[in-house]
Amino acid sequence: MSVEGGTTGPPGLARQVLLVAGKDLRIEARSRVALNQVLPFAGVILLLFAFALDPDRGLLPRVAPGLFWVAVLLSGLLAISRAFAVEGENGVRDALRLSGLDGAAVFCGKALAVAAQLLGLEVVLGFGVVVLYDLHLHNLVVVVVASLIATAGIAAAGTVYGVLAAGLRVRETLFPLLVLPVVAPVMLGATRAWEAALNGAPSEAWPWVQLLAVFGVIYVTMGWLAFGPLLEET
Amino acid sequence: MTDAGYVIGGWTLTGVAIAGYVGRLWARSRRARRFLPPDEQGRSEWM
Amino acid sequence: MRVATGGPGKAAEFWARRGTIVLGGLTVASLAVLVVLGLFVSDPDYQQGDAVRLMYLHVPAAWIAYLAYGVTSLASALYLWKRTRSPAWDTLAGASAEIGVLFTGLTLVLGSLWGRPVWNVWWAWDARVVSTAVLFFLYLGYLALRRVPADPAVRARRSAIAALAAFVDVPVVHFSVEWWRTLHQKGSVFNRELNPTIQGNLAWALLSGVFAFTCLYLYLLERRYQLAVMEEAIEERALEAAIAERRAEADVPPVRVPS
Repeated sequence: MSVEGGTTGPPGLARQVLLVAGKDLRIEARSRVALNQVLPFAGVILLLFAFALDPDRGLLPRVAPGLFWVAVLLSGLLAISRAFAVEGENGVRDALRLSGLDGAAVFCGKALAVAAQLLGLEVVLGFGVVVLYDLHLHNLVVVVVASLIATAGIAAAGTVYGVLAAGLRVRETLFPLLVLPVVAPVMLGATRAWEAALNGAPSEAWPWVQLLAVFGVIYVTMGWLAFGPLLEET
Repeated sequence: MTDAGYVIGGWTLTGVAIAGYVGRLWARSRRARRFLPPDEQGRSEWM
Repeated sequence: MRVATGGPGKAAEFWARRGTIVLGGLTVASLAVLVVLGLFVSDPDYQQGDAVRLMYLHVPAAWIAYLAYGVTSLASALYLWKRTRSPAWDTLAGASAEIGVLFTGLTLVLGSLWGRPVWNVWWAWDARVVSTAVLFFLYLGYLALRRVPADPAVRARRSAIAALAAFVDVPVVHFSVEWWRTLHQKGSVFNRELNPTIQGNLAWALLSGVFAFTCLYLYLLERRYQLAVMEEAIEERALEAAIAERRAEADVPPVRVPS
């Protein structure tokens, strides 16, 4: 670790995580890109799905969980890209490196900020799915737990790949290609868990929740270990 | 199409794909070798 | 040069050259044996008839795909581990991944061609098919990342981490897809057995396929590796030339080089 000036040592890991997450969320709150661009984008996706699968055929409520997660992933990609685009401006990346913050803490902070945005997105999209697709929510506990764990997984994997692609000229096109196959199991697991819960068979959801948890643990560990070295490059 | 048609198609396709890849490697290697002095050319033997 | 080609000296070089030649000869010979055994000598399957002859390519191709990704992951891990770090591992990882993607694509296409006469569909949403398709895209992304120009050391580290991040996803993808396909609808297309009991000369044909493709993989890997070494050397020379040019420019006293 770098030498810290002043009388106190470097802040603890948890504090560092909160610092980074707070910084990202503050930037987001001021720029309002998520609010003014990502959320409307997600809404348009919901409309498009309804156009594609005619609402009169009664298909929408049945496939709503899958559509919901596709919408979350696609609009979430934008939010994650954004989380790394802000680092590219004004040499923030260098500043982050010079700040002496632990790589793992930066990773957790950024992932936390992304997760918070994803959760906000999910709440709005969930509301949209219930209203627009006439989806009836049952077993809300299972739904919420599965969503929370899935969100952690998406945020962790997205943050790992976000920093991998950050600073590259082809970032916009490369990042979705890298991250979407990786989070395919999350998409699958979260959709099945939702379906099981909504169909009144919550016990069938737990294997999927476990799978989501394993995915989350894997990518949080990956980011924890790899983020420092990745941040140092470019 | 008969079974034999699928089999012949599949085998032909495999042959073309592998030959195509080897051909591409060969062409790229030949071009690369032109830019390098003999001691940096690596192993040139193909067979 | 960034990658040592010479190594311990002329003797090693001599045997390495010999090795390539032997490997190339072995590959061609074993592929010829595969064609003879697979297309002419082996009997048609009692259920699938002649369509089973696609298995002699499909299964070995899938095996090579997994082998290639295994080699990529191992080489990436060896690159990341400080004690074994060498640019050669990075080059090897990239070379192997490219061959892996080629053979994954081949596996998918051959499986499709095999599925059509046997299952009556081009594409079955079978667990193994789906996870192979995901694998294909995972490593296509890895190759795309590798192709982005960057400082060699930076790119090597980034690629190695990306390779491992993709590798740890493979079991998760496998299990998720497996559960998905078994917990939900039972495949209606699988009224015939996925794996016919293999017997007699069918087994020999399959074995010769695996052997031939393994030789082919090693041969291609060696060739691709050599090519990568040469291309890296060219890049390095171009860089050195550019630096020399800049120096020469800077040495001219009266002209101020605009920054």
